[in-house]
Amino acid sequence: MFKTLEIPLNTHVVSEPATDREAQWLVKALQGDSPAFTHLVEAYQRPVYNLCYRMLGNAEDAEDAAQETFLRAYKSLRRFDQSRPFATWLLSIAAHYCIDQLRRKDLAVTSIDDMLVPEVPDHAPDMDTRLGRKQEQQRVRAVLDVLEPIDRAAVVMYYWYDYSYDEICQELGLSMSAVKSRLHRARKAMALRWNQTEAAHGTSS
Amino acid sequence: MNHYDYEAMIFTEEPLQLEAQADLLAHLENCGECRSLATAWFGVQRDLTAAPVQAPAAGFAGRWEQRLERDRQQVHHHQVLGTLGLSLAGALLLILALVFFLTPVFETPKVYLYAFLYQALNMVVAADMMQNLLVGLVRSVTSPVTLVIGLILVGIVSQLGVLWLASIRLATKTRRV
Repeated sequence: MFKTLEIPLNTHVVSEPATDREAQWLVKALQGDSPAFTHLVEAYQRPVYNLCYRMLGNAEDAEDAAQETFLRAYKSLRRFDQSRPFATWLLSIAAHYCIDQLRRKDLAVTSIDDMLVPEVPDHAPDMDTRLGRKQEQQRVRAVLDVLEPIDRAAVVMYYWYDYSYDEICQELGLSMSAVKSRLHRARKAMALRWNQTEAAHGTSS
Repeated sequence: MNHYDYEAMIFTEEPLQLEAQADLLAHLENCGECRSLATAWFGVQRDLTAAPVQAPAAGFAGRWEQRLERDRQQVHHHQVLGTLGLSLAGALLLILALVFFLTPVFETPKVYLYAFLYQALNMVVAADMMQNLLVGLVRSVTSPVTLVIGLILVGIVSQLGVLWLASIRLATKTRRV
């Protein structure tokens, strides 16, 4: 029943599989050529930043986390298993870093009032569209903020990056049943938070 | 079925059988709690779908390069500090060892001073003996050689020296291929 209502979620976050040029950059970067790695940073900055943004909830922390992700990737490039996609490896580093950050700073506790100012400039032409997007952004942040770090990582990977359950198991080091259970719990938590947010907006308006 | 089963059906990613769908719809019509949950879940999915992919501010790669440079400088700084620390620790150990071994000298300086002077005197005597030996040897070799023979020998040695230099130069000169 619900499958008919589902809309395919963001499938365009991670770009096409690594091209030959990217493979060459990777080989050069493995030889210690940092400008070659900068090309990889340019190629993957968007998916990495988006994951960090969805995990941490604000632009400043997301920027810092994305920068740190690329730095860690550069330093541990020799440990990269080339049989795996580079994007997956990068996103795994980003997810674990964000999980650590959330646990350390306890960023998960954020009130809805803190989210009223949009941090990413919106270039929509009219005011209504911008307002609508702003409210959508606030709701997305609100529903993600209610989740535990690992649950949030699983949700972001599943809904923004189209990761399969298997891939989430691999990247987060969880069993299949744990992933299913966490995603189920996360969906329920998000739905409950969504109801609360809607109720709050309804009351305020 | 209880609420938990219907919740599982609401949140499942698997397509539901027709029977299960009808069952769930019937339940939703009667259960406000589950209906609210289902509506909220649709809302969540819609928002997640509509949420755009966020991109970093322009110049991200440049900022990353700066960060990499800062990190390298920091690592270098730590390495320098580490080396300095190790050197200081080594020097301190050396000083402690010296103090340990030189303590007896400071306690009884006279004995060591006499021993030092005795050894120095022995060295001077030995050097004098060596000098006498060498002088005697040179005199015994050069006494049969007349001035003419000496000049001839010097000339031969000079020519051999020139030949030696020339051959060294030829041997070390780069060849054209």
